[in-house]
Amino acid sequence: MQPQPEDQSLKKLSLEQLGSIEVTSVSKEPETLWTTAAAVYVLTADEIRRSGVTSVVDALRLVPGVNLGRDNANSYSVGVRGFENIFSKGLLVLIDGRSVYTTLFAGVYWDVTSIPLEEIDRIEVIRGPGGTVWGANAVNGVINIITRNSQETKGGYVSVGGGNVDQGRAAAAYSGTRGNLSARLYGQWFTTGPEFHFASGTVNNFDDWWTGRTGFRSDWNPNVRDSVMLEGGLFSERSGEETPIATFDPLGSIDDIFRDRVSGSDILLRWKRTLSETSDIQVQTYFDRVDRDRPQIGEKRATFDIDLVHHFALATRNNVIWGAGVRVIPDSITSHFPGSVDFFPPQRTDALYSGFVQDEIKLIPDTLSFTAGIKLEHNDYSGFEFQPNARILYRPARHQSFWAAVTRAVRTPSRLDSDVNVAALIASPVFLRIIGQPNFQSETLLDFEGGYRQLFKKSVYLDVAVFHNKSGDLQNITGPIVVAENSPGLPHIALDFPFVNGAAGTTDGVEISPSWDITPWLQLKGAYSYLTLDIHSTVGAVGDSVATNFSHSGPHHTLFVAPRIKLSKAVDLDPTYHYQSAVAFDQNFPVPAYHTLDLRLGWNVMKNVEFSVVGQNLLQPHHIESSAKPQVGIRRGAFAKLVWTR
Amino acid sequence: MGLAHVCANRLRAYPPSLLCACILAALMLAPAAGAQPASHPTEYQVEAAYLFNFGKFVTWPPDVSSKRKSFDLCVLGPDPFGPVLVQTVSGETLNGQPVITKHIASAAESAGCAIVFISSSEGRRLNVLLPALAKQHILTVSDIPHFVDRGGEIGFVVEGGHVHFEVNQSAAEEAGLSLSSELLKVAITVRKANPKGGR
Repeated sequence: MQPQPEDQSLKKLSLEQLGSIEVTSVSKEPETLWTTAAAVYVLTADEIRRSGVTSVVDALRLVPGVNLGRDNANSYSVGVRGFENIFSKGLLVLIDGRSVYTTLFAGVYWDVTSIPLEEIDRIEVIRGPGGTVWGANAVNGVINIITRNSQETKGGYVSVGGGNVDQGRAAAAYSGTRGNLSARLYGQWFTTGPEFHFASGTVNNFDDWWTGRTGFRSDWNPNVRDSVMLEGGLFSERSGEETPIATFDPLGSIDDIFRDRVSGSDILLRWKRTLSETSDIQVQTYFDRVDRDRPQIGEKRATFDIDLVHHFALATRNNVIWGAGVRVIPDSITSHFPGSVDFFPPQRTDALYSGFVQDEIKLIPDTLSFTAGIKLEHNDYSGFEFQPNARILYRPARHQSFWAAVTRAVRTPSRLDSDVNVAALIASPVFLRIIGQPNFQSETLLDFEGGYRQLFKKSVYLDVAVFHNKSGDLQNITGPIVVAENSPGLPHIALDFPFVNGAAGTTDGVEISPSWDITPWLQLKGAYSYLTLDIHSTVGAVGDSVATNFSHSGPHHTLFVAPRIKLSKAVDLDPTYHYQSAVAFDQNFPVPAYHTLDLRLGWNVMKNVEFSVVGQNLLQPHHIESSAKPQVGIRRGAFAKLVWTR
Repeated sequence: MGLAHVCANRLRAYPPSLLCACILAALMLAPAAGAQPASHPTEYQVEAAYLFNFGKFVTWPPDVSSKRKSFDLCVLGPDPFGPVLVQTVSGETLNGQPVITKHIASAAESAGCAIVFISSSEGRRLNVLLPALAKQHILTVSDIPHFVDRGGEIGFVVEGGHVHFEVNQSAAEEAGLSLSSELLKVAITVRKANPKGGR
C-alpha cells in the first residue's frame, strides 16, 4: 500500500472537523468468519430489514445454500444442501440456544420461530454438519437465531404493517434499565391470508393463519465476571390445514379441513462466568412446552434441558472446549382417528445424555490451526452415537482464509421413525400403511468439505465452499406385508410398509457467495449454488420411489442477486432476485423452476420513523414452491410497514 | 428512455428473466449522475486521526504520564487500521514524547499503553478487558457497538457517512483520566452517572 498523504492531513483537523468528514464504509465481514473452519453465513439485522421479508423463516431465503419453499401460507419446507421437504429434517434450529427441533418427526415446526424481526440481532447459519459443538441432528445444517441483548437496546419501537397476503402485522417492544439490570418486553401479532388455490371454492382456502406471541429478555451483569440472561415467551396460533384421512367405517377417505390450534411457552436461563481472559464457563437451562392440535393428532410435548460448557486455554497453543448436557422430553399423543394415524405408545418420555470435547491447536498463531473433537451421545432409540470431526484453517493474510473439514454426523431416530402407524386409502377395501420400527437406527453422514474466503481491495468479498457427502441408512420403506383385518371398523386389507434404514448415496455441491461494496450508495450481494444428489435404495425396488424423491430434494441451480441501493440519505431501494431450478420431493407433485423478485422501497420519514413498501413475488401472479399436498400457488403481494423507534 | 423501450419490447417476448435484468440495468444507470468520487477516506483513516487527537484532550495522572518514555497507541486484537495508524502518527510527539503504535493480544500486555483501541472481535471479553485496562489508567477506545454503554470510555459511531464518538465520562474518571471540555463538547453523547454500577 502506498503512503497516503490523507492520513497526514486528517490528523491536523480538529475533533469537530473530523466529525464532518464524509467516509466510505469498509466492508465488515465479522472477524469470526475468518477464523471459522465451516461454511458459515451471518445474516445481520440490517440485511433482514432491507430485504423486506416479514418473518424469520422467510429471511432464511437470504442465506446462500438454504433452499426454502412455502408449502402454503402457514407451512414451510426448508432444505440445506438438499433434503428439502415438509419435515425440514436434519436441521438443528436454535433460538438463543434453545432447540426448536421436534423429536416428533426429527424436523421443525417453523411457526415457533415467529418472533418479531425487530428482536433479531442476527441469524447464523452453518451449512453442512455442525459437528461436535452442536451435537446430534445438526446433519445438514445449524440455524442459530440470536435476539438482541437487552443491554444494547434503549427505549422501544412500534411497528405496524399490512398487505394483501401478509394481511396485518403489529409488533411493539419496550426496554428499561436499572443499574446493571436491563429488560425488554415485546409482543407481536400477525395474520396471513390464504395463498392461491387451484381448486375453486372457498372451502379450499384453508391455509390462512394468525399467531400472537409475547416475550421478554432480561440481561444482568452483577459484576465484571458474571452475566445472566433470562428470557421467555408465550404464543398462540390458529392455522388451517387440509389433509386426507383414511376411514374404516365406511371404508374410504375424507378430506379433513381443520383449524390447527397451537399454543406454547418457553423459558431459558443462562449464566456465564468469565474465569480469566482465556477461560469461561456457562450453564444454561430451559423449559419448553407446546400443545398442538392437528387434523390427525393432538400432541403435547415438553422439553427440559440443562447444559454446561467450559472453555479454557491449555498451555499457549490449545483452546479447549468441553461440555455435557441432559435433555428430557415427555410427550402425549392422542389420535383423532384411531387406525388412521396412531403412535404406539401414545405417551413416551425420552432422555438424551451428551458430552463433547474439542481442542483447537494453534500450529502457527493467527495463521494455521487444527481442530479435532468428538461428541458422544446416548438416546433411547439407537443408544450410543459418536460424532467426531477434524478441521484445519489456514489464514495467510488478515482477509484471506482457507479451510477444510471431515465430519461424521447422525440424525437420531424420531417418534415417527419408531412409533407411527399411518394409513391411506388405495382403493376400497385396500389401504396402504406405513409402520414405524422401534429398531430404526440413526441416519448417518460422512462429510468432506472445504472453503475459501477473501476480501479484495476492501470492497469485494468472496466466499466459496465445496462439499462431498456420503449419506447412509436414510429412511426408506420395505414390504409390503399383506394383512387382512376385521378391525378397526369394517373388514379391510392393509398393505404394510415398515420403515427401514434403506437408502444411501452421495451429495456434491459448490456454493459461491460474493458481495461487492461498489460505492457508498450501492452494494451488491449474490450467491450461486450447484447441488447434485444421488441417492439409491438399498432395499430393492420397493424403496426406489423414496430414493428417487431424495435425489430430487434439492435444486441443481440456485441464484440470488440482491443490489442494495441508497437513492438518497433517507431513501433505499432494495431488489431481491431469486432463481431456483426444478425440485420434486414428490415425483407426482413436482415444483417447476421459478424466478421471484421482491422490491423494497424504504423511506426514513424522520429520524425515528421509517416507512417501507415491499412488492413480493412480482414476476408472476402465483407460483408453486413445494411438493407438499395440496400444492398451492404462492401469490404476488404488496406489504407496507411503518416503524417508529424511540 | 431507450433502455426502457428495449426492456418493454423484450419483456413481451421473454417475460421473467429479462425483467430483472432490465430493472437492474435501469437502477444501475439511474443514480449515476449522483455518483460520488471514490476519494473519500475510509472510516478507519478518520478513526486513526481521532485516536491520535484524543491524546491531546485527555490528561493522565501525573505519575503515569511522567514515567512514560513514549506515548504508546496500542491496538488490542486484529488490527483494522492496516498501515493507516502508523502513517498517521509517524514522526509525531505528544507532550514531548514520541508517539508509537503497538499490537497487543491481551490486557496483560498493555503495560505502558496510553490508549488502547479494542478491535471489534474482542466484544465478547470486554467485561474482563475493561476493568484490567482501567486499573492501569489506560484510555479505552473502540468501534464495538454500544461500547460506552458497556463500560468503555470512548466509542466510535459511524452514522450517515460520518464518524462520531460517544464518551463515558464516569468510566474515564474511574480510570483516573480527565477529559477536556472540548472533547466532551464534540462528543455526540456523554454518559455521566454510570448506571452499570462500577462497570
